Amino acid sequence: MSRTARPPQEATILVVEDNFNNFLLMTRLMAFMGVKRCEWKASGWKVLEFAETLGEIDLILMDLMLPDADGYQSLEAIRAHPKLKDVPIVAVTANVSVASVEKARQAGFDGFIGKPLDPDRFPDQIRRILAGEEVWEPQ
Amino acid sequence: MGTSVGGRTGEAPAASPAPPIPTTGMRGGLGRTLLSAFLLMSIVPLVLFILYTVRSSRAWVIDAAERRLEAVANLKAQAMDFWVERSLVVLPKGDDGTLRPPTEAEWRRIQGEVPALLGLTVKDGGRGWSVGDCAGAGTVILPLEIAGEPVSLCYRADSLQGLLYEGLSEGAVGKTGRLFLVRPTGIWPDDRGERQAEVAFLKQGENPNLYTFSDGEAVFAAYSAGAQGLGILVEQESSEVMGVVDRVAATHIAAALAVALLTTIAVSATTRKIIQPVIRLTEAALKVANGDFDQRVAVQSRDEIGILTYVFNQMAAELAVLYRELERKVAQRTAELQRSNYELQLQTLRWRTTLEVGQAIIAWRDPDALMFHVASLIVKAFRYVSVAFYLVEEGAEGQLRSIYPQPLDGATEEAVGRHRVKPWPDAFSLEEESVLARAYRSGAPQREVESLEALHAWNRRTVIRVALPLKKGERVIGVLGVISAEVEGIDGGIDEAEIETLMHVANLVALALENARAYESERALARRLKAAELFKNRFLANMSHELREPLNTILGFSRLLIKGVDGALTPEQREDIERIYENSRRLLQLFDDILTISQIQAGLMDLRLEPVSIGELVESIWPTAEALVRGEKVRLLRDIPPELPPVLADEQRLRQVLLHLLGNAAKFTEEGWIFLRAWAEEAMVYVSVSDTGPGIPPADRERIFDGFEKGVAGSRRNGIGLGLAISRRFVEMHGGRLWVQSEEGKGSTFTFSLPRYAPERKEEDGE
Repeated sequence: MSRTARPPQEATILVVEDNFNNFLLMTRLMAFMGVKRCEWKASGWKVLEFAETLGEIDLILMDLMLPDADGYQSLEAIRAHPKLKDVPIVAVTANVSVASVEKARQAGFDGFIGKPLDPDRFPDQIRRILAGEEVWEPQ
Repeated sequence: MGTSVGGRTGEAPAASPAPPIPTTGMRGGLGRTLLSAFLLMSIVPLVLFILYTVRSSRAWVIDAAERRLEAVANLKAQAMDFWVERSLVVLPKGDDGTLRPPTEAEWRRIQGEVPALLGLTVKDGGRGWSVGDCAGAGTVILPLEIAGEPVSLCYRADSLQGLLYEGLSEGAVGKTGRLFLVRPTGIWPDDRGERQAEVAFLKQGENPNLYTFSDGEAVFAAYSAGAQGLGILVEQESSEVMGVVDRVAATHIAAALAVALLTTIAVSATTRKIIQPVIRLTEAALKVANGDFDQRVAVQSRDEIGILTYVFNQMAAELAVLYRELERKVAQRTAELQRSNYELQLQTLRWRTTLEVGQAIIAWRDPDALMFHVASLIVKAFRYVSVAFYLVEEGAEGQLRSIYPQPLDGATEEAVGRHRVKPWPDAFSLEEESVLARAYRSGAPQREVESLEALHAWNRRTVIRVALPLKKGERVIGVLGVISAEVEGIDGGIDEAEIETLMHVANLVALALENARAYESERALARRLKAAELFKNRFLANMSHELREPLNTILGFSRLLIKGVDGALTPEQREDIERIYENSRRLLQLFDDILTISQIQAGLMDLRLEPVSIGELVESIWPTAEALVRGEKVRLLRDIPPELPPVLADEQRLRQVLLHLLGNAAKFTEEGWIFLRAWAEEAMVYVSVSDTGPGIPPADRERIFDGFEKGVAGSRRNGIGLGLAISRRFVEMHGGRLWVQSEEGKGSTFTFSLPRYAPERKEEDGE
């Protein structure tokens, strides 16, 4: 996916996650590495609902196990949205089997990060993604 | 046949087919034998006598005929000689004694004296002469010799004929007798031309002088020679001669036949008189042999036959008694045999019914279907009118559960002959007086007999109701009801043995109903258990999720603090937070392990087998593994050949096993290396994790797989927990093995095997 790399300090990252604690953890870790703008939506449905109110999004981290629609449906919906269709979307999930990674790849995700997040590695993973690198690290 | 023997019916006697009994052919047998003997004795001597007589009379007749013919021949020869002499005497002779030709006068005188002489011829060289007529017909020439001179005398044939037959009586030569003049020049009159040969034959002196001509005619003959080379031949046909003998023989044979006839008549009469009683006896014996033992023969004489008759009568009487006894015994035995045969059939029927009921019990689990099927079996086997099953709930009334045959819509009665019987109520009260209630209360079979009145006795029916308790031990759970209809007076209906069989069937059904009931409750229990299992399954799945989330949050934030994201920490703070972090990690691990163990023990751990590439899997977990090995002094190495075949495994579980082993190795290895290797051998793929840790003492090498064991006492590291136990279990569930090799102080190698993925097992790649 061609896009212009953006330094973490200027990037806006949308976290789609139903567990607030997880979002908070991610926000803190990303803040630690310099990301100042983080948005949170609890589901893909809410992302679409509030798409217009969101600013420019550089990266979406999406949980695959969401309450109303699963990550794949949400991915499809977001990709269909004119405003969000070019935003890279990285899957963040506890299902870390090779098949799951492969499925995510087939579905069109731009990366894969396994849960539980490793606080030691997560900031670096985000940095690399923002730098335009593809990250497929289920563990 | 005579009167039939008592007790015998129209059936053939048991010992059929009877041997053929000789009949009338024997009647004349004895008489004929006697007659033949008598005839033989009278006729054979007669025939011998006749043969002898005929033979001797024949010899006599031939002898007499020969002598007679000979006498005739001699007589005629002399007569001829005399006749010729007379002719010669009258003929004139010269001085030398020779004949001289007679004068005319002399010739006339000669002709006057011998009128038979017609002429004569003398052939004496050139001086020959003749007189008279020698050439005419009816002339017979006799060649003679007179004084050495040959002279032929010519005679009248009729005169010569007269000479031959003159003075012969008919008895001398018979009707066929003939005489011939034999001359040196030929025989007169020779009408056959064979008489020279005949004369030659006679001259041989054969006896008898029977000569057979070439045409087959036979003659008796005699020859007598006279003077001057002349002779007489006499013949008589043999048929005439022998005719006498034939007449004699005929007379004798006629006499013999007459004698034979007379003898036959006499002997027949006598024989008949003698064997008449024997025939009567024989006929009576034949009738006895045919089974008519009442035959008696009147005693008509006091001779041997009379005695025989008397004895026969006695024997017949005894035989009759014996035979009747035998008949009685046979009838008795037959009846016994029929009875035991009937019982055997009944027994077979019972066995078969019991067997079929047994099969039905196995085949039908549903109690109502079972009872209906058994009812139909009983109706068909015993030809009952109706069979019903009632079940009694505790203290309630008896409820009709199954009935066979099922009543037609709206019908409340069952046809029995022309009658209609109300078969069974839908329910019965336990206190009522019906046969059903009585059977329930007493716990024993009960019967009730009802006679159905009818206009005609043959149409009268007896309806028998038998109720049998369905007993489970001492408890009666229901009643089996049976209706049987019998034509009155023909059969006793349901007997004890039948009730016994029904009781047996009832017991079987009671047992089956109890089994069905037990089966039902087992099924209900199983359903509840299944529901509970599903619940537990869901519970465990939820539990793992619910427990992990907060723990992961604790882990995440404590790690955040440790990293100093929220600002620098004092050493004490940092130590405290690290303690929280470590223990949370252990707690998470423990939760995971306990949940896994619970799932395995509950049998809920289903493997999702699919082809898994070890290389890819290791690649995916490698960052985690590297994160586990934090010390600078430990190197993490791997050697996985790219051509390593995939294994058939549940990727999630395999990942757990690998992380367990790598985590373990990392935990116990303070410096050196951790080496992951994989290789394939035959049908298995092997993966090993070696470390340069402290090693495991031999005593602990199996215990570490039991769970909650500490590998090294006093190690400052945490215990290995359930990880190895779970890993071994996972590997074994895949059909592989997990084992350890270790050398204390040098390190340990954990190796596990997994079945290689074989494409034909693709159907197992579920979900």
